[in-house]
Amino acid sequence: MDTDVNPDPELLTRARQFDPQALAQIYDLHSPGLYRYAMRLLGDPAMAEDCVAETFSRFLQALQANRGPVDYLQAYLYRMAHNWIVDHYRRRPFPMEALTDGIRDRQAGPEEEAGQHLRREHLRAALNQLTPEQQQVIALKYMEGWENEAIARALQKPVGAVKSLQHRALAALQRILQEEDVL
Amino acid sequence: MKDEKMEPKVEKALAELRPTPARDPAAAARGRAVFLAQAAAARKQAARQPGWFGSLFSARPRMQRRWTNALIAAFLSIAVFFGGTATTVYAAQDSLPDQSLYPVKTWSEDAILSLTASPQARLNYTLDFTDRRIREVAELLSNGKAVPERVFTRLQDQLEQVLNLVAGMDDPTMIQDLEQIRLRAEAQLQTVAELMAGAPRSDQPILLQTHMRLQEQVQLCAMGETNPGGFKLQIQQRQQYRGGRGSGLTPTPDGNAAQTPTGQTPSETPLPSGGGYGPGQGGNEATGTPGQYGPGQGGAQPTGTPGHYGPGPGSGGQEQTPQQGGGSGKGP
Repeated sequence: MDTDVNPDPELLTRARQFDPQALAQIYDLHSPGLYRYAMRLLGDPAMAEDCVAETFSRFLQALQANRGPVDYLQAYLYRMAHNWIVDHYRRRPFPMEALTDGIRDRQAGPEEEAGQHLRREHLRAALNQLTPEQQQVIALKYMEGWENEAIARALQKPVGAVKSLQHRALAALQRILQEEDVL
Repeated sequence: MKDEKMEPKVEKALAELRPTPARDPAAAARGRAVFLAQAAAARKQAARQPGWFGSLFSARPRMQRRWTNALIAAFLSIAVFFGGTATTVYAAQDSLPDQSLYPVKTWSEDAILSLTASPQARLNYTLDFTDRRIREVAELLSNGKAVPERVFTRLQDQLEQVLNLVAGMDDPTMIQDLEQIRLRAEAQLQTVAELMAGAPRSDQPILLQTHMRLQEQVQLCAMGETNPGGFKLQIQQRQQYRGGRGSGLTPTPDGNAAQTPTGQTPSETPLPSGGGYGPGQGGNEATGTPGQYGPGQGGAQPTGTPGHYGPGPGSGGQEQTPQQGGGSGKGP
């Protein structure tokens, strides 16, 4: 599906004039998806809320500076959110040491739920080892279900470059997951 | 397509990250309210001000434009002088700290200062460079990027260098220049205050420190305008203190050194957290009580005194979120 929502070309124009209704509409339209996106990559509700808050705050900043998206608002917002997530992990690297135990043993029996949680953390840790662009393309394609054209807009790259990025990202992810005994 | 032939196990593994727990409605409502309050404040700000860049440029006197033009000419001369590509040096002037040409930009600044004999010209160049640092911070923040610490360090060095240069002039010239420096610092102060209103919490401590340093610049200039002797003495003391701490010095053609120190002087404002750029004890990342830092969105100026913004409840290593704190650092 092409999820690049830009239903009303006038919406951004009104947002640039700080029209409260337009800004509220934009928030209501994109905040749930951005929250889910952040949750998938961060795994923490409070951090995901922070990510959403900062993303919209930066959007406002951009409008104040006469910058920001001309169109494709959704691609812009996800790019901002992803930058925040990357910066977050730069400031506070993923706690790999907490994940050193083998995960297959943890999946059995009554601890299945804890095992699933740990497995998800391993996946996030593996994703975190990819380059920021690789992470973004994997997240948008395989978690958010975006089409390549929409991903290309979010990454500000040609579709061909996105496809090749996807291919490299998948290969890298597969290798990491195999090395860490997740697959 | 290759991606569609992805190893099924990888696809299955990624699918495990798709389900997300339902969002807390209260947290969502708070987030929405904060955003709308920020939007309302931004609307008011837009109505009364031309914006960060506008305010920066509107405060720039005609003299500055003249020096900026001279600057561009000097860049090209330097590039040719060193056998470099003038186009590259010219193109680098618009680069940001996260871009590959940025080192060329900072190099060209240092080169210009070291090739400029006149103290007055060096002062004007350095003042322009401080404006550049502020614009870089604004652009990085508006692009949603973190601001590298070295940008602030360089800004602080250049602010200090401005003081050193002006203190070396005769009194009438110094008083005239101090007024220009003060006006420039006041405009920068306003810009930083606006940036603080919308910057991510992780950037708040360093922005606050910069704000306080600019306040100090304004105060020192104001003092120098009325008490030139006292000002020179104070700058001399700052230089002596910094001289013992080691610093980068920009050589000048006359053999003197325009100081570009990196250490802090006793009179400089302390870091908000009392020791590092982080906001609190215990290794927190800008996670003090929400609303603790900034000026809010109403355009109020942060007027905290040193220590006022200290570690606060952020100590202990627990990250505090707006939800936990019951508000937002950029709250209305």
